[in-house]
Amino acid sequence: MKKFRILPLLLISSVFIFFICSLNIDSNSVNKLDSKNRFNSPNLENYFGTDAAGRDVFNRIIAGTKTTIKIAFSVILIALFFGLIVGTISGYFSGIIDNILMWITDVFLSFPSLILALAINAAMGPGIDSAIFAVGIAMWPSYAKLLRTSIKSLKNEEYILSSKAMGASNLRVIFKHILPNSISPIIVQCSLDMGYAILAVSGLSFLGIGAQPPTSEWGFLVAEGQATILSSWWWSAFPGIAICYVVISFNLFGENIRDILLDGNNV
Amino acid sequence: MKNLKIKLGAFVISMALTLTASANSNSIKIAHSEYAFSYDPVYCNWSDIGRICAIAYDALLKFEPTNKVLVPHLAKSYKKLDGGSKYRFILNKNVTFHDGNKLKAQDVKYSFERIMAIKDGVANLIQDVRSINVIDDHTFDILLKRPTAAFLYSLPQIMIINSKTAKKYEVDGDWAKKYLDDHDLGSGPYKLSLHLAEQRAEFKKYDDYWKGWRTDNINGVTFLWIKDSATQRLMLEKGDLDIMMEPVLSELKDLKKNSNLQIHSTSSAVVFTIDFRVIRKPLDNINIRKALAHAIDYEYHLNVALEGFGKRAKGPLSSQLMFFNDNLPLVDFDMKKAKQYLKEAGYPNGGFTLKVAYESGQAEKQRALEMIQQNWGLLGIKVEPVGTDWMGQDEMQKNKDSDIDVYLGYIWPAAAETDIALRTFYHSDYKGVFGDNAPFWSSDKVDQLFDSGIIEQNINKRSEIYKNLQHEIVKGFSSAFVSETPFVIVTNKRVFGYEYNPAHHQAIDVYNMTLSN
Amino acid sequence: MNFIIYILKKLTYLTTVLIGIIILMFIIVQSIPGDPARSAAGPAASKERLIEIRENLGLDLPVYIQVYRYFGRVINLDLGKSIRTKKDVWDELVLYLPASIELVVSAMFINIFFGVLIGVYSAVKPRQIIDKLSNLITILGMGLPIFWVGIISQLLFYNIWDIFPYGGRLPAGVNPPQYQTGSYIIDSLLMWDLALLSISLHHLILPAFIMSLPELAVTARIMRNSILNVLNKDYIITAKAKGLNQSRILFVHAMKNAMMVPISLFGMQTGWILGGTLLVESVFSWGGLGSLAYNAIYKRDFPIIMGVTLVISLCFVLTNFSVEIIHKYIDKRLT
Repeated sequence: MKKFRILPLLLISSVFIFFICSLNIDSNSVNKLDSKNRFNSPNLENYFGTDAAGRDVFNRIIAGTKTTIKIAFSVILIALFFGLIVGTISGYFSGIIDNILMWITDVFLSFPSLILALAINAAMGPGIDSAIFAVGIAMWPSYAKLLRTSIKSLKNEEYILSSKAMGASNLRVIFKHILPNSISPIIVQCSLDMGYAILAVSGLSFLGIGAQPPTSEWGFLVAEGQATILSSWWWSAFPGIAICYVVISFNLFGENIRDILLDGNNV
Repeated sequence: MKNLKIKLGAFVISMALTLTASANSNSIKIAHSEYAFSYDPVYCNWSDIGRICAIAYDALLKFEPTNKVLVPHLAKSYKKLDGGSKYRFILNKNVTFHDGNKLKAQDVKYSFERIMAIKDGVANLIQDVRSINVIDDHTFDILLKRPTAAFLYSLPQIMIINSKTAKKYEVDGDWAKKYLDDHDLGSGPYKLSLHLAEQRAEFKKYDDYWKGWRTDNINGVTFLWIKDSATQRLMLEKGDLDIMMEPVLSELKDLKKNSNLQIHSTSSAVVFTIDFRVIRKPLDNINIRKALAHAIDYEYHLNVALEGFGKRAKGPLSSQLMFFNDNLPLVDFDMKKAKQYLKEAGYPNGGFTLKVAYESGQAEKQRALEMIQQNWGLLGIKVEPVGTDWMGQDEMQKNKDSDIDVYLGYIWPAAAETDIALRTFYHSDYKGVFGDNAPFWSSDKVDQLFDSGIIEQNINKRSEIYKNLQHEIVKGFSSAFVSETPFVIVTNKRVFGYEYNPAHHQAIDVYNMTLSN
Repeated sequence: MNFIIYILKKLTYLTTVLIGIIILMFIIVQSIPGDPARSAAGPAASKERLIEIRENLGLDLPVYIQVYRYFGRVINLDLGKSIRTKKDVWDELVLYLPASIELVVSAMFINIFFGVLIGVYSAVKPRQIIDKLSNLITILGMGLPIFWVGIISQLLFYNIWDIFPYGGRLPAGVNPPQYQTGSYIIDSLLMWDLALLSISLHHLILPAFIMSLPELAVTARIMRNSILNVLNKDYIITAKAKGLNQSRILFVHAMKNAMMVPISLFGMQTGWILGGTLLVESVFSWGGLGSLAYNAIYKRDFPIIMGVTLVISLCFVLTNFSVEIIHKYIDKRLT
């Protein structure tokens, strides 16, 4: 049985700590315009410098942590919601329903997720909620497929068959036996997808169709600082590093979980 | 494997360097961030297209920036007849178009009729034209529907195109619109030599230009579309670019230190406004608008958004234009007054949300948005930003039923003349037809003043009328007039002779400039 | 014969997926705010003209008929007109497609070539410098936001070190090669213009590399694991015991089997790289579908956005299909 490795644990705990800090931050003071302290380079008072309106970049990044975590969890929840429903029905019932659902799944899989998110976001209008929804919609197919595979392989196991022989309803079988045993690959996929969800939504914010001002969403900060990157590199650089840090933390932690739950071989 | 890669890399780099070096010689490279979707001079009023038209086409008259007067250009001379309802023009005889055809009065007639048929772009500038009468090959009359005093000022924007060749390329009676999207039919000093969609447009010197060439003229112009301003700055510093059209103002303090670069900054004819859509609740209450106007930190905008360039605007007209009223009341930044007005309007603690549309790519608008978010937020008003681009915002402004409450916009004069500058923004005829009247505000008094001013031939009387007009507009509080936008470009120090021309906003008069090497 | 049947089955399924894509696009298009009749007619149109256009577009017809008509239009390559330029969407797409394909193919090439190379090297010499380095690259590669990397690399490679151009496909003053395919690399090769070819390559390298980075990391990692997996299998140990030369073992047995895993991934990776065109092209002013889409987003030019989405998805479906066929073919040859 593999154990939790130190580095991923440390990283993910640090992210958690920043998240707690960001919950307690007063967004009004973070966003307060300060015309006397504009474009300060990183110093002892402003660890990451200040931006064009005098706002401290470090504070904005911390404040943005809660947005980032919210994004990660919301996207996964949306993806799970659709993915689990489709995957369970598809896995449990074979035949026409299965084929149709798999066809729908493949159609969604055929859109590179950023592109699908773009189209959905364009239709729904800019805003972080529509970006979250769009990326979630783009990500559900992998969960559907995972669950379907699990269920199909478990469906014919002894204990399932005997359970049904004893008169258990389909629903009961699904909830009591199948789902709990299919959870592992789903959990692994979730923790690996957190990072990707963050990257996708911040990419949309960078393009200007995700978060709107005065949010401190990190992708949005990178876009804000882009025009002045030559004179004030810190405005774009540090939010990018923050994205990288959180995504890598989730990735490493996810791989650790995968090693523990699946014992190594599946990539 | 590795060695080969290094050798290949060196070869590549050396080839690149030789080729770019030879391309530098006597050609000027200009960068801007908005792509020109067409080269058709009917869209001359759009700055990116106007920039190109200014070097490939000629107009009847030119606006001379130093003395701020109209001077003859394609037209050798002109006469005002019939009390201002008719103008007779005599054309220069030696003008040829890029393909060799000679300029004749028929070309002028075709150009005008074309614009009137297409009904887009600069069409509004010649809406008072009834018809063109060709008298002979080089003489013609322009007959107006009424004695429009400002008429001549529209002419620098009306480009004359090669009608003989245009007719050859017409498709389904489209007046050669499709052809002109990526070709040029002008007589101007430079002709289109390369068009790479979304990347660049290259123009070469037209040897038979009717005004002739000096020895120190510039031989070619390249327009580059580079969306990212940081990239533009890098290229400028490296010498890969000669002119950067829209620098980010906060980068200027760094650029000032670079002795290879020169910063040209003037006050422009453009005014930055925060428009309140008066047909929406609760903005229909003038006290709310007054409250919002007093909650705007004008000094902050000048110092932060404009980095100290530009100056405070008190009304819709810039001090650069004629009949500027210097005696307008100043709306000051006073949060107490703002709260007072809110109370009088019945919203002592705010409690409503305003949707604000703005161009998200522009730093000035971003800073302004942050500022009103904070200040109006202190009044209990929530600001919901809607980022968009120029065209998108224009569509919203045009739409009577748009759900946007506030617009961050520019009053951008279509020509260097007061009536033309303000008419589409404030005359009721244009509400919902053009997007300029974002507040959707008008008043009978203002309409009256416009209607009497446009035909008033006596310049002193005109001055009175338009000064009064500005006063009436300011009284209405349809907008908060924030600042006169500075017009800043950064050039390589080898560029000489640039002068800002309020009639051709954002155009570069390459013909009258030189490059020292 | 079985193989041909397999191809036909896949082709049929592919067609149904394409139909599904078009239906999904229709649904998305319906939820776009704004009046399509007004957009088509233009601002100065009269009420009568609007009614006329509504009839033409069939906006008042029942949904299933609208879907059918939408289908008909798409099959006929009528994707509407760009709101911004008033040109046909299809014409615009065709104009910008080659640049993106050039970029994506180059990125995939870099991904496959270097990914496999690094993966093999770190598998053969585990826990040494290359392995540790590739591990680090993997972790970074999967976490770095691609738009941020693009900006920073422009800063480093163009401004500070001056090795690569700021972006664009060619420098100002250099004319593109005669149009044959639209890809400057191929077209300059066809003209045997080596100078132009080298300049085009010079402009291509950085954006292609940036685009391949996330997938490069994954490929290297997967390749490494895949090979290590295979090397531990019984028959390899048996072969070693029999005394066969190590490198022969590696290349003949391990590679063939190990390649199966990444090959099946290449299809998906192309999709992810296609998604990345949007961000990379806008940072490097590349002039492909990504730049087109970026401008379109900014200007709310929905016909173009939908057109780009359709084309990129199509490319993805076709690539996946090809990869699956290749995968099956190699699989058959091995067993």
